Amino acid sequence: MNPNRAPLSPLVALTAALALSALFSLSIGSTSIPLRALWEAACGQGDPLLRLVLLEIRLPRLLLALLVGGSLGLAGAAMQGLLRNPLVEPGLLGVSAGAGLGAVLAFYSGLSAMFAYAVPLGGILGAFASVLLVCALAGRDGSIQNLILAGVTVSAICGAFTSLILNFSPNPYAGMEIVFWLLGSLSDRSFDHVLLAAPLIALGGALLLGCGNALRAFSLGEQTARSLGFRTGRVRMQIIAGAALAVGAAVSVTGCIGFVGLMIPHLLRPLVKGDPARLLPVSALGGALLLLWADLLVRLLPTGQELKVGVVTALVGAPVFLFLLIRTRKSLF
Amino acid sequence: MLEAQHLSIALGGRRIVEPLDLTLCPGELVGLIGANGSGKSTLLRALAGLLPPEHGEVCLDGKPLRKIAPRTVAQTLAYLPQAAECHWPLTADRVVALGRLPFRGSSSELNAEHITRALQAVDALHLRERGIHELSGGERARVFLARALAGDPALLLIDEPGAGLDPFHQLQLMETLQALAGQGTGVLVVMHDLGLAARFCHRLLALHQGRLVASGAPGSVLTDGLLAEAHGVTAFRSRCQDAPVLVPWNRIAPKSGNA
Repeated sequence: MNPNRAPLSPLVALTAALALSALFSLSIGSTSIPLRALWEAACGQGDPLLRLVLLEIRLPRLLLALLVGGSLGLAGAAMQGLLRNPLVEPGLLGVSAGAGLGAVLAFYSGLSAMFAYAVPLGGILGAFASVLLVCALAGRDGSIQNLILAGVTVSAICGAFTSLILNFSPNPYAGMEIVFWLLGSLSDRSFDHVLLAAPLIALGGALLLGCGNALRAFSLGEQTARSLGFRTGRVRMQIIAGAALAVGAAVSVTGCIGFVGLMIPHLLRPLVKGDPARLLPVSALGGALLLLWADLLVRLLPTGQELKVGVVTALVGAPVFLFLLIRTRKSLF
Repeated sequence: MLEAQHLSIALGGRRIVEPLDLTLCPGELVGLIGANGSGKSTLLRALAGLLPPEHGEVCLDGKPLRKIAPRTVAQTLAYLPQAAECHWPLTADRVVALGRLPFRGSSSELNAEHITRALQAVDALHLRERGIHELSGGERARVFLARALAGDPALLLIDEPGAGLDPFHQLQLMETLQALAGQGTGVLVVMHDLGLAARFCHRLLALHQGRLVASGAPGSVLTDGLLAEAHGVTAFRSRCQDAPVLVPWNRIAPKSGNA
C-alpha cells in the first residue's frame, strides 16, 4: 500500500454524518417537515408554503453553513500546514479583520441601506485589500515569520479602525447593528448570498485542495520541501490566495465566526495520522458539520433574542481547548 | 555528476564560501570536513540548489542547476539537512514516503518497494509503524536518512547524519553510505568525525574559513599541518586491519584569538 494514499474512512464517515445532519437540519425548525414532504418539495410537489420555507429559508441557510464552515475548516488546515503550527487560525494573515472592516465601512457609510449587498461586497473588498497589504509588507520573498508579523500588523490596523468606526457610529442602534453583524450569523440570508460567496469559496477551495502534496513536503521544513522539487514561494502564494478567497467570502456573508478554522483541523488531525494533505478535505467536512450543528443549536434553542452562531462556536471552542490542554498536561506528567 | 565551477556564496552581503571548484562523481563517497563555521553546510545547500551562488555555477550532468526544473533535480539529487525535523506526528514509513514526492504518479507498489528498501538500508524497518516523535534521536536520524534514500537518488548530499548516533549506528551509517557508493551513488557527506572520514571516505574536501584548503585522498588531506591549521588539533595515528586510524588528540592553543 502507498502510505501516502488516504484510506477513505474519515472522509466517508464525515460525509455520511454531514448528509444525515443536512436532512435533519432541513426537516427541523419552527415547522417540522417530514422526510416525505422534503422529497415532495424537492420534486416540485407538495404544500407550496412548505416549499417556500424549505427553498427560500432553510436551504440557503444550510448551504451557507456548509460553505462557510467548510471554507473555514479547509483554510485553517491549509494555514496550519503552511505555517507548521497547530494553533494558527485562518484569519491570522488579516483576512477576517480586513473583511470585517470592509463590511463595517459599508454599514457606516450608509451604503448598506441603499444597496442590499453592500455589506458582503465591502467584506470581500476588505479581505482582498488586507491580504494585498500583508503580501506587500512581508515582501516578495517574505519568510513565514515576516508573513505572520505582517498579518498581525494588518489585523491590528483593521481592528483599530473597526473600533474607531464603532466609536463614532451615528447612534447606538447603528453601533449595535455593526456589533451584531460582527458576531457572525447565518439567519436572514438568501440564495443571493449563497451565489455571491459560492464561486469565490469554490475557487479558493480548489487552490487550497491543490496544495496537498506540497503541504506534505512542508512538514519537513521549507528547505527540504524545496529540495523535494516544490516551488515553495509559489505554494505559499497559492495558499494565501486560496485562504483569502475562501475566508474573505465566508466572513463577508456571515460575519466573523471564530474557532472553526482553529479547532477543527486540530481535533481531526489524529484521524488522518497527522497527514497535512488528507487533513484538507477532512477539515472542510468537519468545519461544515460543526457550523451546521452550531446553527441548528441557534435555531432550536428558545432564546428571547437571537443567539449568534459565532457566539455558539466560541462557547463550544473554549472548553474544547481546555480539554485539549488538560489532555496534553496529563500526557506530559 | 555534480560540478561546481568558481562557486562562491554570500549570505546577507557577507562572503561565506570563497570561489572554489569541485566535482562529485557517481560511485564516490566524499567527506566534507572543516571546523564549525567554516561554510560546510552553506556549501552543501548551494550544491543542492537551495542557495543561489554569488558567482559561478553548479552544474548537474553538465547543465546549470538553475536551468533544470526543481522536480527533475529532486529526482536525481537528494538533500538531507543537519538536524532534520518533522513538524507533524507522522509514522516513520510516512516520513520516508515523503522522499517519494518527486516521483508522485508512480505506482503505489513501486513506492512501497522503495520505502521498504530505504528503511532496510538504515536498519529501521521495524520502526515503520512508530510515530516519528516517539523515536529516539538516533532512530529518528536513521528514518530521515531513509527518507533521503527513498527516491533512489544518483547523488546524495547529507549534512552531519552521524550526529546523535551511537557508535554501532555510526559505523552502520558509514557502511550504508559506502555500500550506496558501491552501487553507483555519488555521496557527499558533511562530517566532523575525522576518524570515520579517514577510514571510509574515498576523497575528502577540507574547508577552512570558507576556503577549500585541501582536496584528495584522506591520507593526503588529513596532514598534521591541515589538522593544526583548520581544526586546531594534533592527532594520534595508527593502522588497524589495513585501514588508517586517526584520533584527534591534543588541542593547539589558538593563535591571536583566532579559533
